[in-house]
Amino acid sequence: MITRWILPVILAIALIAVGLWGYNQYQQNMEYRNYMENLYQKSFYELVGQVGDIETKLSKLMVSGDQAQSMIILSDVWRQADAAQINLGQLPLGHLALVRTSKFMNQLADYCYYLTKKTGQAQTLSVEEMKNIGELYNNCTKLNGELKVLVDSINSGGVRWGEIRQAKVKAELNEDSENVIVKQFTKIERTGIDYPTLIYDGPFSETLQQRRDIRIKGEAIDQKQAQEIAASFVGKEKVAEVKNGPQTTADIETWGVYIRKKDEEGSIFVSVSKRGGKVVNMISDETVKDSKISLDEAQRNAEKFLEEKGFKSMVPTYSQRFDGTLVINYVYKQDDVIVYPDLIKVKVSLEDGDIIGFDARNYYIAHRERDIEQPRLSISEARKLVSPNLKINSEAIAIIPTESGHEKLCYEFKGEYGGDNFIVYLDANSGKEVNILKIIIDENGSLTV
Amino acid sequence: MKHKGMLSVITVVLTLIICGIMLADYRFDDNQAVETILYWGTTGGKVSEVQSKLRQWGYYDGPIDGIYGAKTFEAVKLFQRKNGLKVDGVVGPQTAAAMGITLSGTGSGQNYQPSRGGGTASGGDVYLLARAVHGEARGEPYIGKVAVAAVILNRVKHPSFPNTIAGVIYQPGAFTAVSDGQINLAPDEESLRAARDALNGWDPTYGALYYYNPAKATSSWIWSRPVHIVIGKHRFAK
Repeated sequence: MITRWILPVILAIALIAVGLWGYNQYQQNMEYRNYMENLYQKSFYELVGQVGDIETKLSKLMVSGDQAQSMIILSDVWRQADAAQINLGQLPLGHLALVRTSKFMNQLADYCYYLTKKTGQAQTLSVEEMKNIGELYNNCTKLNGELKVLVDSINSGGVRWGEIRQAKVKAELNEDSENVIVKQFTKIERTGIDYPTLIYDGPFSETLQQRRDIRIKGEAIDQKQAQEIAASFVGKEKVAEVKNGPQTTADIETWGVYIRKKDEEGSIFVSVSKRGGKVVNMISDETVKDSKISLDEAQRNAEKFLEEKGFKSMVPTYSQRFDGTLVINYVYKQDDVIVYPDLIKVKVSLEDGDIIGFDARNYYIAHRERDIEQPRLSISEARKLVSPNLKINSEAIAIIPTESGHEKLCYEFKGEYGGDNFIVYLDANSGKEVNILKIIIDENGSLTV
Repeated sequence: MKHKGMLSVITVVLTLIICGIMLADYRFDDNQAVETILYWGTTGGKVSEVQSKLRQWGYYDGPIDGIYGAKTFEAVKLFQRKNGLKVDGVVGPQTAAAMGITLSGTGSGQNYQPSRGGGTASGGDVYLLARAVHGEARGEPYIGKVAVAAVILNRVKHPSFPNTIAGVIYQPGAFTAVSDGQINLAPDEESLRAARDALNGWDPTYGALYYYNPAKATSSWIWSRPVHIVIGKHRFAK
């Protein structure tokens, strides 16, 4: 009797257990889904709010006649656009649906930051700049309008952000998508963003995105010659095997060469420019186990190496130690002027002092003999402009790169304040403070930020 | 191994606490520096500070030479008149306060404490980058790993992408290793080295912003991008 009942009972219990478990899973799943949905909604509504606010602020800027007021508005737009860009990056739309919208927000923020700095230096906005602001405003209005449409359809229900993620509309812009959100953002991306090319001094300026002036000139070389050049760069007597590696077709066209050294497991990748046959960079996957040589000795090796490869007048600026390696930055010095854009990085193994890394891309992009004009300010005049808080230890004259990739002649004051080290750069012509770097020194070397 | 890790964490935390207590105990003794006032004939860094402030605001057009002369005197008077202060051409505590400078000691930073190797979270950046490299490019040659890290860093610098390493890595749908959770694996030593090389400026891709595995890529858009270099299974494109 009992045996007849036992199986169905066990099955029933199992079914209930599985049912409960399943229900529990479902509940959890829904919880996660809601949680994600809420995060997406939050990002989206914040974005909508910020774009609306930016639109208002930009229009106020058009009628503001006071510099202090303009500065407050500009810095507000900069802050809001920056936050909008962050929120945009959190929407599950995939990068391609947002390329231009994202760029618009970044450039708007960057441009307003640049204008904030400009008004901060008691300069008024130019006619051209006001025209740009006008166009940026128009764009913002359009963007705002499209977002409002989206808000309405989301509010009337039926559209969920989570669905986009699930549909994996990741990589491709999909105009035929059923989803209103994707449709609307695609529309914005295709037709909504249209503003002038912004040229200014900032990291996202259009000039920097398009810069392609590579200065390596000379005879074209073939792959065989590249192998020769790479082998002698590493040191022929150390080379065990040379192989072709991947070539590049970017702003500098290069041949790639793989080299295996004698008594080494790893390989070295050297890329040699197709024109002129210069070694642009070298990367080694060698593992350095322990450090046997001193940092001074490593630096001497690096200097000898540069000398041998024909780089003259290079001075070390800062260095950093990682595990068993030392990375030293060298820059070109023209007469007395330190030229920071002409940068070469050398990585030295602290085990045997070998050069295991080299990067001269910046050097080849920037290097040339410059006509350096006599600065309008003398160094003693400039010294008086430095904050009296800084205890100056050394001073020099230098060319530094600006954020937009241009160059500026500056006086460099290295000093100390409250036990910390700083470098202050003053424009050698106007005396304006251009940049302040803080040097963080630890047992691994110095790092500038 | 785990215990060793815990031990070093505890050591670090304890050291920080002790340092904190020691620093909190440390008092600057030269706090009662004499309040100076600046007037015609005064020289020095404080005068330069006043001059540069006045010049910034357009009250003063003379040289910033640290000498309180006639021009500085006139400029100070003008400043005082405009700001409703007593017009005497002397920079006392009130005028100094209106200019936003302090006359005593070395200025406003008397409680300044030197940093202890902090200031940046770059250590965290290296680790996060290494995790992304480990998740995305395990089994790729070393330069392929450096290249993946370089693409992430190139994106940070590009206006069309988020502006932080974390923002780029965690952008929804940007990297498969993030979507499927592989980014949470502990990075190996080689990934860490590759991340560091990339942060130090090595970029075998020469500015690439995308990479894809041609055997797996589904987007037709990605095929139209100019390829910079092919390393291992990945094509790096701009």
